[in-house]
Amino acid sequence: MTIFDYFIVLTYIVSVFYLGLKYRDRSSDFSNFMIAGRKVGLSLGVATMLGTELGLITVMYNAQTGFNDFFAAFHIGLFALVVTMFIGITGIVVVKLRELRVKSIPEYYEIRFGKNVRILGAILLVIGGILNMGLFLKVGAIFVQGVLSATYGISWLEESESILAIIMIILLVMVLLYTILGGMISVIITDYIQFVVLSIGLILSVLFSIHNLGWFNIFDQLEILVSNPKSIYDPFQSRGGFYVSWQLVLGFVSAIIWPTAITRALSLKSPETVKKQYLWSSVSFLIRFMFPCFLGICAYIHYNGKVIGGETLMMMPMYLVEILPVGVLGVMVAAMLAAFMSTHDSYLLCWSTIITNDIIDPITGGELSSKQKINISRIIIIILGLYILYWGLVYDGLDSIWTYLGITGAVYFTGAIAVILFGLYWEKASSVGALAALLGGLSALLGLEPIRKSISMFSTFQPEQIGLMTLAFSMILMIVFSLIFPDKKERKV
Amino acid sequence: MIVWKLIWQLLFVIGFLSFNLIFIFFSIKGYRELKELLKGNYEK
Repeated sequence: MTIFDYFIVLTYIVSVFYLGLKYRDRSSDFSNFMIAGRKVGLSLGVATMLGTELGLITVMYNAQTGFNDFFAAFHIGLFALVVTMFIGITGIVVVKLRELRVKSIPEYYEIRFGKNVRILGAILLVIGGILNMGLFLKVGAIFVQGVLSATYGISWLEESESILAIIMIILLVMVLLYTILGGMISVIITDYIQFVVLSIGLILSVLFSIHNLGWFNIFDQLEILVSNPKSIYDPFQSRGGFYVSWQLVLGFVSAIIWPTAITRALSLKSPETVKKQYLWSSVSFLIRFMFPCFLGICAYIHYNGKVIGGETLMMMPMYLVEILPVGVLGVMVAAMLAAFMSTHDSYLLCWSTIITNDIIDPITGGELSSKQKINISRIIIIILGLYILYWGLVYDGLDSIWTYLGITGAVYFTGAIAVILFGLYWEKASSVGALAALLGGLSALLGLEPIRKSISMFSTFQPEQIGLMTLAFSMILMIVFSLIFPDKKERKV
Repeated sequence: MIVWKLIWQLLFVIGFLSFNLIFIFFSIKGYRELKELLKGNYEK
């Protein structure tokens, strides 16, 4: 990194802050704060959907996946493309939810199954969600650490825990300030800017990688470096059928019911726009996996398969510092930091408003004013920020970040997908069945590496196997309990 | 192995080209919509 690169990074961060703060006082209404008053059009929806979904974390874990699994990891992107396109064509789930004009998935739970399901659903959503984002801050800090290490060649910096903690605190303060002062309008502004800058940064990084390593040489080198060439390309050889099936499930749920994605869909102007947005976003969903995976593969070749500093996550940022020219590196680092902010503000806003809207508000009788809800959400944002700092410092699981994200997300989505699919498309689905399915999702916690290893019965299972079992378990609970305990009165939805 | 290799190469090239087009189109149209959204929100 040169002084010019630092200048670009600083200018960029200051500009994003300025824009966010400039528009902060416009978020005086809770509906604006949460879903931008449902005024987002198709183009802005497509741009900001990628802005939210293509965060620094996404780039980092996908680069790590590419570094570990090579081209075989592209199947994750392929599934994301196919599934998102399918949602765009059929409108499954998302259009129905938009037609109901709900602000969040737990709101749907209440309309279909009653208040208890809404509160339990929101609690589980928040447990899964905040566990899921628990490592975001740490991963962001590892990126900065990797860039600084490659720039200054300071070997101790690569492994220093205290430096990592300091970077985490600086990043956290930046994100909290921005999110608390803004709201969904500010989130949309940063998401848009991030979509533009990060897209340019990624396209350039891919082009420079191909220019440096040579398109055909990438494949040739990889086949020399990896002992089993078949595993480079074949996902079934590389990770097995359970893993591949699990990726299909993850592709489906991350597009259809993951709150940050669905919140964007619910803020669109009309149900028809929702379908179009998913159709166009399908390419973005492919790219957000494929480009970073490719950069991870290039980093593997560049370093001849060696892992420097014992951390595979750090390899992609170090690689970028070495290959990108002055100026482009500055843009890329700035874009990654903005991506970090954009993902955090989207997630913090999403979880805090769900806690306020779907747990605190119903419990307190639904009489909170918009101003009170916004203030409560802001306090929760600070608490969540402190939690991710704590969790990033204490959690020491060894699974890859993508595996961690999949299994923590499963705590929420395995139950939620059963409740939503059956709730929307099966008349006999009952509130007791919904409660049982949601609670069944908790069994995904067994897939977390420290828990899995501590229980001998599950220690031999892979996270994806536990995830698939949890999904099947929740579906069965939904069907069985709905048949045994049907609702007494018919619901309209 | 060769089939998988070809699939990923094809997917990468098509994905790269279509993303470039999508990026140009939606960044321009998205900017216009963002301006409208901010303007409307301000006037409200």
